Amino acid sequence: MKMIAKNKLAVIAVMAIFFVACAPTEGLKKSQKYESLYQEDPQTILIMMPINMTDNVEIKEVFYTTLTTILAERGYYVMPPFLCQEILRSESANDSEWFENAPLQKFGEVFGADAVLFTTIHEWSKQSLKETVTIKVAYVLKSTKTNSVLFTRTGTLIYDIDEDDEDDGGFFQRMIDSIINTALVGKNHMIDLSRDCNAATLADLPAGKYHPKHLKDSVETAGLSVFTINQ
Amino acid sequence: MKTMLGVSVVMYLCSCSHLYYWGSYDDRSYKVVKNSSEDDVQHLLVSYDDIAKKYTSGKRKMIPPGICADYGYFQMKTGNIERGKYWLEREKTLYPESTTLVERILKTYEKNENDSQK
Repeated sequence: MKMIAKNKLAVIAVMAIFFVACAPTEGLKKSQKYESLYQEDPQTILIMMPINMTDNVEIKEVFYTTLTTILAERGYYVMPPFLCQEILRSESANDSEWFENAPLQKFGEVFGADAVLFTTIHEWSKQSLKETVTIKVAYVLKSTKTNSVLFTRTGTLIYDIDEDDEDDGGFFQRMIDSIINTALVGKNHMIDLSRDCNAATLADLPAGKYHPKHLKDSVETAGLSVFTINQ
Repeated sequence: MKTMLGVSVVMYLCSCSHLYYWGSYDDRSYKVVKNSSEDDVQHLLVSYDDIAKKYTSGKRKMIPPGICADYGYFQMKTGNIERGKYWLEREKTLYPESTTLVERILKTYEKNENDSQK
């Protein structure tokens, strides 16, 4: 009897794992995964200043400025960033944390935005020993009409910052390389890394009306909601 | 990584595969967001000018969304009111979805002007 009960439990456990594994969360067509986005078909997006959970004080602005070009290249009308930030500042409404879970209809009325993009930078860290940079950012696009989430994706990108350098210079060369890499990552190349991170994550965003794939990409397989890329 | 960055930058700058021509917009807009110095703003204005001249090299052969509006905003902020209005109106013509925002800006400006004359 005990044996049968154990077998039953085992079967139930296997079935549970099977159903969880086969749950329709991933491997869906874009039309299924982003159903509300295709229904609403937002055309204008307001980008909010990213929420920065890291110690890197510059990273917020870097991500903000590279989001505009990436979203416009996805075919959307991106609200003019400087003009909008000025309005948000004058209305004391430039703190993204306040609005992430608040009604967004007002953004539709004031800016004419169909959707608002929130980003949260969870990690931007350089591991000196491994010589890698890890970036983890969450993107949430919300409707100003229904307040529903139209698109959400979290990407972790791990960049090997020394993969191209041949290790033939000894300790001092490696130390100099490390200093150079730190400087590069800390300055201009932060823009390139941010751009890569935004592009990789938003590549799954269904195309907007100015993109040749607008509404045609609904049959494509959607990417993972949470993903990691080792570059 | 250097190769990766180089490739991504080259790909990015190769506007033939992009909807729009951006020039050095990302770098210059970052500096304005970060520092807002007069020099940085001037460099960004040069970048807007560059986009307005070379926009046909992008696939859509259009000035990217938001560029004319921000250009107009900076022109008005630096006292070039008529030029600012021209660029704001141009944004509205190119992208009618900007109408709500552009008209709000122009109305606010008119109201402030009227108030200051009283």
